[in-house]
Amino acid sequence: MVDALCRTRGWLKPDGRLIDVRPLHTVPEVEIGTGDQATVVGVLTVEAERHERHAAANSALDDVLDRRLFVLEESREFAFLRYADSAEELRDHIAQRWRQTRLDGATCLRTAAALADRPGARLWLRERAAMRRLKPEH
Amino acid sequence: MPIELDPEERELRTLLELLPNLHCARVVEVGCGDGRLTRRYAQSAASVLAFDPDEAAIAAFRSEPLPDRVEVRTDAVDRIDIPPSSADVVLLSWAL
Repeated sequence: MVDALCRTRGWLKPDGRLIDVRPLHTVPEVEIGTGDQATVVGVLTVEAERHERHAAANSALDDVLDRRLFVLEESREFAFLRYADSAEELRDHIAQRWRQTRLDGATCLRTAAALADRPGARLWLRERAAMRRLKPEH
Repeated sequence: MPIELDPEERELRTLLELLPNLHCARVVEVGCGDGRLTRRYAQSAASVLAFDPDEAAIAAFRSEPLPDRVEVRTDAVDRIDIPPSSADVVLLSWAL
């Protein structure tokens, strides 16, 4: 990852900028709600390898900042939401798209029950993410 | 209904806040996947080169007409040939 960041630095014009988008936490939350009222029903199950990959990527970013290959100019946090019509649809989506991460059976059942208890509620997966703007140092 | 991804477009709004001059930028996007984010910001950029090593994801990207000024490649960050000092913006898009 450090090598990748170094390569991108070479592509940038001297006044160019690197935008880095990444999850803030490894474990996204399953929520249901209506309007602004959300309830956390559970979290995804994440294998150790994904935690390690996440930590390594964060370490790589810290490394290039420590070495002043880039300077952090600005950072914003945002919530990336994925809406599903059912717990099963969300489970299948995660199974198809993500590695080392799943909506486990117990959480899936609990989510389905919570949705049934709250007619009109929506279901979503919340990923907390960060977007950073970095300036290359030459 | 299919899964809806970020219908509030918080990701796009954050990007445009961080890059107010995106309209005149040549962008290189690393890890574009199926182009979900690329399609949202491409019309705001001068040009985009988007790549990802995942052939299936790139095929999905190409299955719909590409936006103007967008080039898509199946490639990896350690292999792709991009001229030095040629990009105004490099976007590392969820490329953990």
